[in-house]
Amino acid sequence: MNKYTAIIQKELKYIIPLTIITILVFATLNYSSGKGHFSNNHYIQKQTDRFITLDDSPHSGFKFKNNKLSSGILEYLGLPAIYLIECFSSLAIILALIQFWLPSFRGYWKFTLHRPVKRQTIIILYLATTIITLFLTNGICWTLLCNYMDTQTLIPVENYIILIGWKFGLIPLICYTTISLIGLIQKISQIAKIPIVLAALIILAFINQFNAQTILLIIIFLIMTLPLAIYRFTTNEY
Amino acid sequence: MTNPYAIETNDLTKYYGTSAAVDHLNLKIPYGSIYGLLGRNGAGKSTTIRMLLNFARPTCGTCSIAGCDSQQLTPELLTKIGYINEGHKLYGSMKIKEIQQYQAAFFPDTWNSKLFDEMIDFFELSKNKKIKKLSNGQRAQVSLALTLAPDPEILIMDDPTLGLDVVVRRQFLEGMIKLIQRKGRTILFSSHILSDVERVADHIAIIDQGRLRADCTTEEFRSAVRKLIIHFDNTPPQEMNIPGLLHHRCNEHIIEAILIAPPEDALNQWCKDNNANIHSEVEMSLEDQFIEYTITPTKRHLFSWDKY
Repeated sequence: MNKYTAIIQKELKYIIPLTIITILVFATLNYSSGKGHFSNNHYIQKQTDRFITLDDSPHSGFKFKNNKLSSGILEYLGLPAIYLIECFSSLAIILALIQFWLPSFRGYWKFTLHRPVKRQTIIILYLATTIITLFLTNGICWTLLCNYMDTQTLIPVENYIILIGWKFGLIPLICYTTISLIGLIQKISQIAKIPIVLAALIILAFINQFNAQTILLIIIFLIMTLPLAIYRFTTNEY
Repeated sequence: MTNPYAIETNDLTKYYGTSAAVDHLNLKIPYGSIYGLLGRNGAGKSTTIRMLLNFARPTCGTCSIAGCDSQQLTPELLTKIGYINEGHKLYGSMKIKEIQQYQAAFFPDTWNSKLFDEMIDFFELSKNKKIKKLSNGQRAQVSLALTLAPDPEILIMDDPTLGLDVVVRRQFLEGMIKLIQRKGRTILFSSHILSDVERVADHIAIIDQGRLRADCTTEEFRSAVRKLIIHFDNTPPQEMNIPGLLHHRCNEHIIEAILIAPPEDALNQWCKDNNANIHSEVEMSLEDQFIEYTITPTKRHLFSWDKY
């Protein structure tokens, strides 16, 4: 085992169990609350057909239904998509807290950092391991769900629905980078709230307006926050 | 070896806001020496160590380890520097054997598994025990084993014996001494426990309010700080200009004077001029000397418990 695999292994040691728990929660939620959704994918199919044409729809944006706020996803893709986003965003937040907040509270940053490896390498390995795990498991879970739904009914699940689930994987990444970055900003001042506000706005925009522009916005956000997190990590005082 | 100093600081300064945690500190620690960094709480010991290991940036001044600027420490150089942090914070979720494997991965050429295993056996620890289940003292033992197993050339420890009982402290110090016995090893450690420092260190540096107050061998410090009881035939003079006087406590015709390396001749002459004679010299431990040396002028009398 070399030093790089040692760091990745150490991270995966808690990422894997937490991911398995998340997958189980996601499956349980879908199973317990949505037998109808599983078995009636024609409903989802029908609704997603509308969903992907959202740009041209006069109903785009948040809508109130029976005086309750109804989001685009809930309206068009049903509960499985909400569960997917909720479960993996929660996992992303928990992982960010464990990686970047817990060491500050428990005081073991110095043990982490005092070793013959550059700080940039440590954080890049941390971020890469988590981001890849989050994105892959999110996408695989959604694909498996779609396949399951496909076998349950006569109407096939189209590929673009599977792709939508993979794109939802960007939301946990926003949550992860935001919480990580705030954890690394040591002086919790007004400036630390900026990433939260930005991330919240982007997530809302993403859920509301699922189009190429919002995906681009997410990618820009990730491109901005990831180097910032690396910079903070390498220049922070511990 | 071009640079004779393992650790060097030049006008090292660190400000937090407007207060100086470390103020123009100049330290030169030669290879092979065991330096005890002493100081009261908040004196700047930990900040100095943090700057040395690049955990904090100096406001001005520089510090270097093995001739390399602390802010540019390379992974190659870091393999030679052992560090034990205050409180021995390790990964609580790992077992001892897991943290051993993890640490060993970073030192493929120098990791001494036999030494680690022997130390763990000596401390009677089970390798299957999780770090979070260990007591503070046991964690210190694991921390020491993890730090010594890669055979560091320079060992830096921030208050390593804080919170440990006497038995663990003794074992810890013996571990340090074992390392010292290997040729050319350099140790810098901060401590509040003066008996530990006296037992191990050959040099001491005293930091007070961020400034270096003393930097000498332990022997020199022990012989320099003296407490004399001086008896006056008449009323003691108002102005107490005894050679080397640090401070004094007056009690009618007797004064208790703390002196720093007073020249014997000048001291005798002063006594003669002021109708005084040295009644006795009080033997002081290193701890007593440290207290007298670093106590602030306003705190040179005891708290008046009688009033309450």
